[in-house]
Amino acid sequence: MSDASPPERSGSAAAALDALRARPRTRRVATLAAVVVGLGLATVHWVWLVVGGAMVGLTRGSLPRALLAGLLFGALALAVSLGPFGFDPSAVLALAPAGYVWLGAGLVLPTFGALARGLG
Amino acid sequence: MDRETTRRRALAALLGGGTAALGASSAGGLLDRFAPLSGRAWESGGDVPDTVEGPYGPATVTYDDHHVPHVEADSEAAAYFAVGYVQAADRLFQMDLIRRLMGGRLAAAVGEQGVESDLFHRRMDFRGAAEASWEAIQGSESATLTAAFTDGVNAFLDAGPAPLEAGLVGYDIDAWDPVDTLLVGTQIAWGLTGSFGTLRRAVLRERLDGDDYERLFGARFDHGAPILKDGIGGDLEGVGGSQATRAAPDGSDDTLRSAGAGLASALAAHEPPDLWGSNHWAVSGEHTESGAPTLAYDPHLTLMAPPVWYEQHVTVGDVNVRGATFPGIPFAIVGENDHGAWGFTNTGADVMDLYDYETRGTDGDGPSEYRYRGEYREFETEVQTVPVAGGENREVTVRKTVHGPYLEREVNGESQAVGVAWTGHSGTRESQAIYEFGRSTGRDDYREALRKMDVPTQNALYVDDDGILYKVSGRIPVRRVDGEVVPGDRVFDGSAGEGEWEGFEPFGQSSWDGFVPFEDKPGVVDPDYVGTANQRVADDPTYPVGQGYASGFRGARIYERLEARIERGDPVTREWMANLQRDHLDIRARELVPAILDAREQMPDAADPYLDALADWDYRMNRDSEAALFFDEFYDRFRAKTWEDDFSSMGLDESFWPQEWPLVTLPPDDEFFGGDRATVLAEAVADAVAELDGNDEERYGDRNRTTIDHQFGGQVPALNYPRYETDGTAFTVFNVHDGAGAGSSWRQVTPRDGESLSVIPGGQDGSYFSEHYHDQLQLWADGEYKPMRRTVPDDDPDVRVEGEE
Repeated sequence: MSDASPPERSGSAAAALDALRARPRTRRVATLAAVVVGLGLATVHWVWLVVGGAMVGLTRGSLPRALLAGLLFGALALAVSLGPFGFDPSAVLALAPAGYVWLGAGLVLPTFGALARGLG
Repeated sequence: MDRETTRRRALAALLGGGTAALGASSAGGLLDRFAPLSGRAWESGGDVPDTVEGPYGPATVTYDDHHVPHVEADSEAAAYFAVGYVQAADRLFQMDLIRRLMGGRLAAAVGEQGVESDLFHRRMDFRGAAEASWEAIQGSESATLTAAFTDGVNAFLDAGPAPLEAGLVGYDIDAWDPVDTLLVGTQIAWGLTGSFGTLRRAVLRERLDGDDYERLFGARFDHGAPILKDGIGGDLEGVGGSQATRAAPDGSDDTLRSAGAGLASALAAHEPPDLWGSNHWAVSGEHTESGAPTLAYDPHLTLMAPPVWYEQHVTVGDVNVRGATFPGIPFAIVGENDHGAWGFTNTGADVMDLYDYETRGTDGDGPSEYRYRGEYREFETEVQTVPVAGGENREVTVRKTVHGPYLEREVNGESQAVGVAWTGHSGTRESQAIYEFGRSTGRDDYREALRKMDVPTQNALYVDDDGILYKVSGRIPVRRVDGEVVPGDRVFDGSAGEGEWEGFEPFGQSSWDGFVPFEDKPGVVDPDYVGTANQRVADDPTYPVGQGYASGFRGARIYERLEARIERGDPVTREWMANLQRDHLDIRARELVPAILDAREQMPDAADPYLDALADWDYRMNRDSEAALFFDEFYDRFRAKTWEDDFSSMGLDESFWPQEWPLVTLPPDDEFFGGDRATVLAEAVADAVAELDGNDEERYGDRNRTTIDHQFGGQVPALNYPRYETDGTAFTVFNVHDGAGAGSSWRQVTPRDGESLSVIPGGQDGSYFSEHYHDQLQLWADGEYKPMRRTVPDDDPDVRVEGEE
């Protein structure tokens, strides 16, 4: 029994996600919600960039599209983070190596999180 | 378990485990600091809160086009609360770094590289000195307003974004404390008067024969332009009737039981940089176009990003003062108010003595007792822990004698040590003096405030609408040996109680009874003109003042131009004062180039183009000049060829070499030239030609570029300021040196009947992301200025302090 329970839960979650992805309007709302929640929580800790990428990725129809969505979510996070700097990335990127960590984290962490799409 | 389940579990493990591993690894620390949105390094891009609650009543801050804050309030406490808030908003990292440096807590932020500095600063107990100064000003206005300033700094710490640097390095900035402000004052005093030169001179007397020492180090520089020179007019003070009854020391006067060249070199690493100095001069209304006195001022310090100075304007009731201060100090140290303008240059007074002791016993890593006036006493000791970020904490034993700190170093397997007495180690009231300068209503008022400026010893120059006051400020000890007044340029026998300062209490409150009386310090009231550039104060001071003055090239140049102008009868204008501040004629070149050209026959043909350029040269170290480039390349080689061999053979490194005046003026047949200066000149020229023919430089500006860097610029080069071509050397009035990384740190021109001008080498805002990070640097490099108005801009305030008094 103990072996059977997680697949059941997972199965129901997967079914719900499948249903969500099947309805374009629901998917758009879910994607928007994932982006807003993900960006909001990413101001608290970087781990939410991973989670945000996962949330966005789970709304996509396939793993490659999920990875692309995660990458775009990361790019959006980078763009939003430039707000205090006049949306000019050059000043941040010039702060090597800190700027490289900023760029790398922004692109890699959400994309990494989007691998969650491969779970189902 | 099917393959799909296995794949999913592996993927889940990768996601969960990878994220957890990332967080636990060093990469997690980097992400905490630099990840987009949450990285604490990026907090500094956030806005400074534009309203803040304060307990002292309302105030407003309006920044002008160069980010100079104009603070308005009904009470001084409210105003200085606002000053604390804006200084923290613009320079918090710098303020924190200074207190960390002076308090010996640098390594706690930057790790191993700060350890040596921390050990020295702990042993010197500068924090203890600042605590004594805080005690000394209790009950004064400056103490009250320093407390308000502190509250303002901490209000920003609570509400404002953390500096970028704290995020880059990953450390927290603690709450500000009033003693931290006094510690910044101690840093200024140390930077201007701390010197182990006495030990170097004692070593030199030990190694050189008497004639050589006298010729290179003992003789007065014969430039003929002391500050109080003939012809400046006015009523002189503190000159004539010399109280010094013993001649300059020879080797037999020094006590070097346990100190030597190794210790001198080791301690030199913690001394303020060489060539810190300053210029200022003033001209009375009798010789100005408008009939009002005028002042020009530029202090020369290490140039850094952000700049050492912070400009501010405060207006409260009748007080309307604009000037520059060191971040962390509430009040404008130099500047102008409605009644007058003032500035300071370094006097070069000797206010630090060194003592050698007989010691015995062992306590940890040093002796346990020292002999003092016939009996052995235990050192006052305290074991302190120096925290080291990312490294092993260190323990340091802080030892003190009756005179002050006791510094030890392991040099080539043996312990070398010396005791230190420094006026800045006592409780001092410079903070109250600086506060009163801003409120002064004329020369008499300013002079009274000057009495409280116990440290540092400075050439104080003040102009009001009626005239000029020049006065040496700061406590200057009177030393006696066998009842006779002696200069302090020797290592005294501490065990014998030799050369002690009467009325001095290190880390306590001094009576200053045995120090030079205020009226007996050199000065002049109502001169026609006066100029200072760290040269000798006077040829015949009543009491000995100092031992290490600048070579005098800048001072001589200032006086020759002032005198020429006045003798011609051309009235002085603001533009002429600015022109003199931009003067980059180098007297070293004027002295040496004729000798170089005379030796032309000994030089290679390849030198011809350069020598032709020298022949047509006006001796100005201008960025467009090929001759200036060549002279700069030549001079360092000439200097090394003259001194290196002789001093190396005595076991003395470059820090022991003489100043530039002897090098430029020694007779051509001097033994340090091997009896033939022409040959030394020719060799230096040949080497310079080979160097310049082998590189791409064609003009002085190709190498004389600003190199003004941030403390973390080695790790994060973007924090460094851009490189701009500029003019000048360490020995020109327009002062730029050390690879253009040191020089004029603030330039001010003040006509008492018109608008003043000022500029700093960089920008007001220490935030790398600010448009004011280095918006004045190009102006500075080009010798230009911005207005220094004492009117608040009409714009809406940028910060409002709200609350009831």
